[in-house]
Amino acid sequence: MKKTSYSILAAAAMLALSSCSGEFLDRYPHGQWHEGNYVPDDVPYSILIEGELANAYAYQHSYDFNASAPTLHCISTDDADKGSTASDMSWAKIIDAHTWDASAGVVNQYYVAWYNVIKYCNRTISYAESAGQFDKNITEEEANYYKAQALTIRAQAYFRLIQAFGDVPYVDRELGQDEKTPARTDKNEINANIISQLEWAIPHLRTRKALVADGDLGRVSQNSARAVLAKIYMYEKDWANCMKWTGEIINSGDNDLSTPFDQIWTEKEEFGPESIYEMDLDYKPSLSINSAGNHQWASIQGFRGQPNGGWGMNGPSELLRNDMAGDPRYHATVLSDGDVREGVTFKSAAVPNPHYNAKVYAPLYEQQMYNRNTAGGQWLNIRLIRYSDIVLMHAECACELGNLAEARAKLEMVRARARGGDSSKLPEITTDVQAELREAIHTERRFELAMEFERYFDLIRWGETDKITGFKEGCHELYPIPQKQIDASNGILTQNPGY
Amino acid sequence: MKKTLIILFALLSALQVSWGQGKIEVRGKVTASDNGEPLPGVAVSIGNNYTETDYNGAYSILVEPGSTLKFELSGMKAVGLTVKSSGNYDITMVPQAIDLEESVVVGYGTQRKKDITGSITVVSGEELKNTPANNPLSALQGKVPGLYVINSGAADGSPSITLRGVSTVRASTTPLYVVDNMLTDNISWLNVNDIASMEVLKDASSTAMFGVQGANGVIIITTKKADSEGTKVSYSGSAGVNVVHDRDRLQLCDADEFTLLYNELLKNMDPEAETWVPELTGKGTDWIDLVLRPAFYTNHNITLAKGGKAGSSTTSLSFLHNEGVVKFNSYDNVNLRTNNEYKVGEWMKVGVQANIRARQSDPANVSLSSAARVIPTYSPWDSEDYWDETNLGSYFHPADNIQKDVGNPLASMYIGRGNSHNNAYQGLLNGFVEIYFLKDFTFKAAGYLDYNVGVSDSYNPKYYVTNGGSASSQYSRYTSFSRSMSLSKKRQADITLTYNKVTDKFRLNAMAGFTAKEYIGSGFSASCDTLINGTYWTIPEDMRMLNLGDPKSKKNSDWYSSNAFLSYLGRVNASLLDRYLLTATIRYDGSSKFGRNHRWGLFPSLGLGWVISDEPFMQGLDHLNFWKLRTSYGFAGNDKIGDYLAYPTINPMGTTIISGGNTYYIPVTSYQVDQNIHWEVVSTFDIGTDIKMFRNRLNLDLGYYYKKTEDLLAHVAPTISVGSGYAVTNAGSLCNQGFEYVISWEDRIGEFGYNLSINGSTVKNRVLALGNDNSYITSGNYHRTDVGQPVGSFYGYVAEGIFQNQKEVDEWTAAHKSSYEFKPGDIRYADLNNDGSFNDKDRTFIGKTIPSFIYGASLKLSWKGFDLACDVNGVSGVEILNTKFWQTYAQYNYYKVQLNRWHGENTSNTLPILDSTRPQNQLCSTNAIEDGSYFRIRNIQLGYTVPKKLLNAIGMHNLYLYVQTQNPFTVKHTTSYSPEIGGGILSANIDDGGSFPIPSTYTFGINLTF
Repeated sequence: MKKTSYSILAAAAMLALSSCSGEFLDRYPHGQWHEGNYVPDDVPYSILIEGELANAYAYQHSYDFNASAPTLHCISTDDADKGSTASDMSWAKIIDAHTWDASAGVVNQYYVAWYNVIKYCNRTISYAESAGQFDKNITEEEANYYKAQALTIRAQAYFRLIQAFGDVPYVDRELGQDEKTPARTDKNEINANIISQLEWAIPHLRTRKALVADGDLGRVSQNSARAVLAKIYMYEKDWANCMKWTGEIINSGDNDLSTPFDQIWTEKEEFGPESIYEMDLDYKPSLSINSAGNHQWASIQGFRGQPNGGWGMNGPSELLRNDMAGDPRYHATVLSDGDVREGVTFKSAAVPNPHYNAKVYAPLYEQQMYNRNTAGGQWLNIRLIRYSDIVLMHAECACELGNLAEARAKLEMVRARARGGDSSKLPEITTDVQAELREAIHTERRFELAMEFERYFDLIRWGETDKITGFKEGCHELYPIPQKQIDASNGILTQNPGY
Repeated sequence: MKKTLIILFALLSALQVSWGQGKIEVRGKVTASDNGEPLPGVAVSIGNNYTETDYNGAYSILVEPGSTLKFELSGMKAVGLTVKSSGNYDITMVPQAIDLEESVVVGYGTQRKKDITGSITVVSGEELKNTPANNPLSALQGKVPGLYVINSGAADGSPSITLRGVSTVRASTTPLYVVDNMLTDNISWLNVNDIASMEVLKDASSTAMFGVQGANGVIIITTKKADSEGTKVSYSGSAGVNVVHDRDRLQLCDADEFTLLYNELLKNMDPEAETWVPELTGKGTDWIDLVLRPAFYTNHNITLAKGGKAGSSTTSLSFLHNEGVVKFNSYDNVNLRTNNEYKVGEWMKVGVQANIRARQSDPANVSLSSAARVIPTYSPWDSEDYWDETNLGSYFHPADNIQKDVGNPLASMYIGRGNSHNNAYQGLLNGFVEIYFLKDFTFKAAGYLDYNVGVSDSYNPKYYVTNGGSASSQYSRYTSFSRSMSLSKKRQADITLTYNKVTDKFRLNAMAGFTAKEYIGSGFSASCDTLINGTYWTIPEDMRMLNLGDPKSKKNSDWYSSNAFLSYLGRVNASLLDRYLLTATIRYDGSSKFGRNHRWGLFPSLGLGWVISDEPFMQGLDHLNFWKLRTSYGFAGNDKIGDYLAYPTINPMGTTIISGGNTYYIPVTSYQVDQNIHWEVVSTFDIGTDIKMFRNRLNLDLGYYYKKTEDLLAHVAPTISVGSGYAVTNAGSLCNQGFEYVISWEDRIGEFGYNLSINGSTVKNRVLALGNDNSYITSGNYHRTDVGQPVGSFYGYVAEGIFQNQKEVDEWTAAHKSSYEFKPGDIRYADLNNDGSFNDKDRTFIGKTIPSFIYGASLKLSWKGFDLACDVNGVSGVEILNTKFWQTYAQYNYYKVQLNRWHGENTSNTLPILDSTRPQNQLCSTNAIEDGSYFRIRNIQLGYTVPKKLLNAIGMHNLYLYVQTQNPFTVKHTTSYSPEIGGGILSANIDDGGSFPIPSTYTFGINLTF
């Protein structure tokens, strides 16, 4: 906006001065505001900022993200398989087999996905910061609210980039096409920046409950920002600071574990008490509602067969299925060939592993609502950070800091919910031995968050990489900076060790 | 429509017949100007009155006094002779090829051929007529050095054209067309039979006259005008058939071969795999055969022409019906053209032209790539048990389980048949007035209008391809219908003032002018689904209305686009002593496509020529008849990019947010816009020579050019951390250089005439600079445009054969790290950078998409009334990437070649093992590169001109019958239908099995004139 709006206004002024010279050659697009027709008062500035912000939200569920995130976070572990037929999605096969190199397209997709988000965040922030110059009607509070959302989303993006790539270029403004690629920034420097930005943002954000009450769904909440802070500290093994923020979330009263485990991924529980950082997707043909961005999150991983839910990527592995057998969460995690749900028998296509991620399955009754007529789950939200993750993080911090009682209590909260009232399952963990409790918390994370976004990087930060077949020490701790980006930077970007 | 056109036609044409009495006898002898030999077989005629010269060139004829006799002979320029009284009239005929006095249209005027300093190739309408083509450009293939034509085999397809290599990466390569002075970028509307000549302008001294639009070269087209006095009615018609010969088809496996290979694949991937049993064995289904057909072609033209001293009038009506070789693809075109010029006294000439056209095309509803991919082991049709009248899909066998994502191509072909209609109507109108004053001055004002209306609709039934409940991914859940309309207007106005002075010592032609042009286009489309209500599977044709759609499903959209162009121009042509030639042009152009401060540019050029053979010191050389040296240098621009790129904009409904169950549209500002964007500048240096020797029988036209594009319009992506979505900007430069030649020999031996002409051109294309950092442009997965390389080259690995056994794999694996797990039967790649690991960095440039040599030749033979013409053309030094063998998302049928795959030690060193779990065999590498060179017999025509003596009796002036074949035979090295693949500038020549075949055409035709 800053650049565009400035330039439109400047050009409009010049046009007025030069009056009608060259009128014949003035050909303007129709359906767009431009120097020839732009009346600043006609377009409230706030709505322009909202447009950039909407793109920042939408780019969080781009195809690049939807295809690469399950691959780099799950398929890279022993708990998930590539899925589908042997020949399909060879780009994910190299991740499954741990034979990737810097040329892996899917690694580039993940990198691109987050920098696209950052681009729109940067625009939102710079427009919000200059809002006062253009529109007297925008209060400082409103401008700060836009900025706080963008800062939170951007911090989340940098957290993911650092998690996957280590040092990355820190870009906090809109760059010109003629500017050189920034070099990789020390991750501690990025973390210091985004920690202070998140701390600033929290008071300017709203609570989940307030957003739900207004029907203003899809925005980041105070707890979204706190969760990103907690994650940053957790990866730095700064248990005290991590616990400070998970504690604030738990004490905020904005979230709880009241949602039954098998209901978490349903449409009616969107932005429910479980929701910490959730990306909103929607598809209601009968209401002409079709969210911006890419809808394929569920269909990329969906059931391959009849009813046809998608490509069948990111399937639970035999190892996970065996280890999880008997866990009450099994059926909300695994959808298998031959399962019967809502009276429908699931018939898988002929694939090596006919088991699918149940956390992207949209129930039949949702498929039949709003004239949807599809099993593809285009309306299924992406639950990037869930409340039970926060509770388990809190337990882990407490355990590491030696507060075993607190750790056990928080672990039990999650297990109690998972139990679903069946007291024969998942007995309470009562150990007093720190190592045993640590082990129990680690296992709980594996099952509670199976096929989600945690496992691969959890194993790396715990040093349990022996549980990853094919893991190369000194190399696979980080994904490679995509060769494509290194080439385009003419060598300004450097490569990670081992590649 | 047709009826209206015929009435209009009748009104526009006035026939006039004149009668005379009291004949006189005229006799004489006809000789050739170059060698003085008598010319036998010369047609001497006036109206229906006709005779021929005898073996000694003598003739004798009875005519009315004051009438004009016409002398015609193939290869010689026709001569008119007005006789007042009886007597002896000896005639000298000049061979056509050496007529240097003939004028050439150069844009905003004409110039003597002798005086031209640029590189211009003229193709006469005679050479083009009888070409069974819906587009005049396809007929140029192989006739113009430096002109690269990629033909399309679709019924209504247009060829793509580049002149002297690729001089742009982002803008279009289409040359500028100038039809009777009207500037346009598309000439598909023009009827081939209406063309009098096409002139291809290649060098800067010619193209600079067209300024910012001339960079890709200019093709000037002049339509026919009545060329002689009197009234002429002529008809030409032809009918023929388009076929794809078996030898040109994709060679795919039959059912047994497929079963063999597929089971081998299963065993390769899993030794325990069960044997797959096909539904059909033996030959199975030949899908390609079911999808292709011999297609009918017919073309009819009637031309009425009336000429005279006071003016001329020509009107023609043509009808073309062309069927595509892919079933149900067809194209119909009706064209009415009238071209009238009248002199008002000695001081003024007024002209009016109109071209009205209606056309309709039906698409091919089947994708050729799916017809190549579908496996031959099932029948296209379902058993009758499953037929269900309401469901059109029930007649078709659903795709086999092992390839459910490749639908049954016959189902899409028949279900879609006749459901789409594309109609277009065009009216081109123009008029001019020329005023001659002060002896040497001419003032001309002209106006041009080009209106286009397009109307399309498309319907899709609800259907489900199933055999009683089995799953299928080929279905439509509801009926749907859409309509679209578009309207475009182009307007152009030209004003020129010309001074023309000719003395014994010099000729001077100076011109100044002004041109303004604008284009405005708009259109809308609307669609709906679930017509009437969800229970209807098919909707009768007269119930397909948007009104009947489900209100919630209704969508509409519209578009608008506009651009404008202004220009001031000037030119001086001078010739001193007929030996020293100069052409200087200057043009000042403004285009709406660029930023306010970068709209205007100056495009100068200079051409020099020296007719050495006319120098006194060159006299007396018997064998050298003409020798000219010419050179030119100048600038032209390219503005063929999208409109409005220089404006930052705000899209008021750029994105949506959904909140509280409602959708809100939110404005979004455009991303980085380069407000300083301006045109590409192409500078061309050209040097050449024209030589005529041995009594003008040998013609040589040799030239060299160096063409450099600067301020290249390109999109060079920075790293993602800088951003994405950047606009096109001026970033880079590239060059093309090459040699061009035309060599021809023409002679007669008695009544036997022959003419052999060959032409060729080379192109060396190189990118000189790109972006800020000389980074490269990657297009898709296979192409890269990089500094020092030709535009859009293939970039990939170098294959070094196939791993024959585990030992070879082990040795290689020991020496190389890789993310792939290699096994025997896999392609072995070169570790190009010798760093001990096989990865991205081992890629290099492995093929070009711009041919380095293009050539053509034509041979014409005539004997008495018979004539035989043969044209050939070809290209070499170009590569094609064959991706057809790569099976990605589903199982495909195999190609017969793949029967020679690796299936054990030493069974193949080129075709890898069948195993779709090994992506390492589907990398862009030299293994998939095919030689795109070809040699084609383009055209063979045998014709017979019925002797005029016989025709006189029935009042006919001329009758010509011919049989012709086009593209009967092609020598190629690719596994594709046609070696002419084409594609985008930066991503051409990918053969995925889906490119349209170029059919062979067999035609019988007749031309007659009264």
